[in-house]
Amino acid sequence: MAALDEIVFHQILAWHHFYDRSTRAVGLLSDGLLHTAELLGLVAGFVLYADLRRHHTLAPPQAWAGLFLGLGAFQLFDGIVDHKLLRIHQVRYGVDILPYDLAWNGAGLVLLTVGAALAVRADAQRPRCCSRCPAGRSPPTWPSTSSSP
Amino acid sequence: MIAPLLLVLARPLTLAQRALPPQSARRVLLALAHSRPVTWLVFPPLAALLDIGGLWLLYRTPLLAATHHQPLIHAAVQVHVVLAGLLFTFAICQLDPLRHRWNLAWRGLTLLAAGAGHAILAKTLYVARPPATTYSAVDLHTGAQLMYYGGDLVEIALAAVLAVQWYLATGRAHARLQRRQRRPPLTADSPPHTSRDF
Repeated sequence: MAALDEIVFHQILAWHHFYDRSTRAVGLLSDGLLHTAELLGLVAGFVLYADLRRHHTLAPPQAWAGLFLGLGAFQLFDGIVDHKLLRIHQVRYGVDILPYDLAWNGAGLVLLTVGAALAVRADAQRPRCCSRCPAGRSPPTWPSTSSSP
Repeated sequence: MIAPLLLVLARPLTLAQRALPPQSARRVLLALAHSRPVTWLVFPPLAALLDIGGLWLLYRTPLLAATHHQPLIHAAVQVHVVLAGLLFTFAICQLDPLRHRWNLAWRGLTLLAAGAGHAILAKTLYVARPPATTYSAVDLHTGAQLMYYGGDLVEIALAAVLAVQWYLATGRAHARLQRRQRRPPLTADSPPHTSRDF
């Protein structure tokens, strides 16, 4: 749960590269919608994060893993699908594009690898969240109540 | 425009109802706020259409050029822009007591659409001046950028208002749930989710 919204709001931080100073109507529409959605997503992400903290259901290792996975996945998706397959826009214009694309997708790959490593580590640590929890059992989720009045 | 947001955050309707004399004036205001036309006007998509649609009309038709020559049109446009901005912000935030409150999805999606409409208009102004006007390219670029980034700030502020409302509402719901679950006396065969021992 924590990982999910970390992905939602932190990958959005990387969305600013989507700009395309295109003057076509469809380009402008999609850009305006995306720009607005990313701002709303940012605000929503922060408040969801605050909500998780409030209910003590935030799992920091998973959240960090989600952050890097989201950043990397978005960067790579943007680099391969948007730049190359759909050719929506390029990293830079008027120069040899290859080094830029390599750097762009390489950075995405590095972020993705870091995220995957963190996710594996977080998963390995999970059963130890509580000494009495059997292995593989997830920590208590909201709404949890204590039995003592 | 930041002015409508600041005005709406002051909860003008609530404030007026507290400040006005209790009898006639307050009753009239209440009847007005609960009347059918007002209920329809604060339907978020309609309010957004009046606000953002008005801006599109102003900048994408010869209306802006007309305001430069005819003082009456100029005044009407100014009044409309402020009032429509107020209405839109009022409909999105819904801080004052109204007959019908639209839920978060309606208001959030409306904010998304309105924000996109505003940003797109600002970008088109960057490349093409309003019809029948003679602004210099530098002025046009400065104005469009101000509109674009200023709009972003207001949009973030509006989103923050919605987010805080959601946060407080879920907090209250959670507290209510916990109170309710704590109330019945614990017995040996109490439901399993209350006897979980973590």
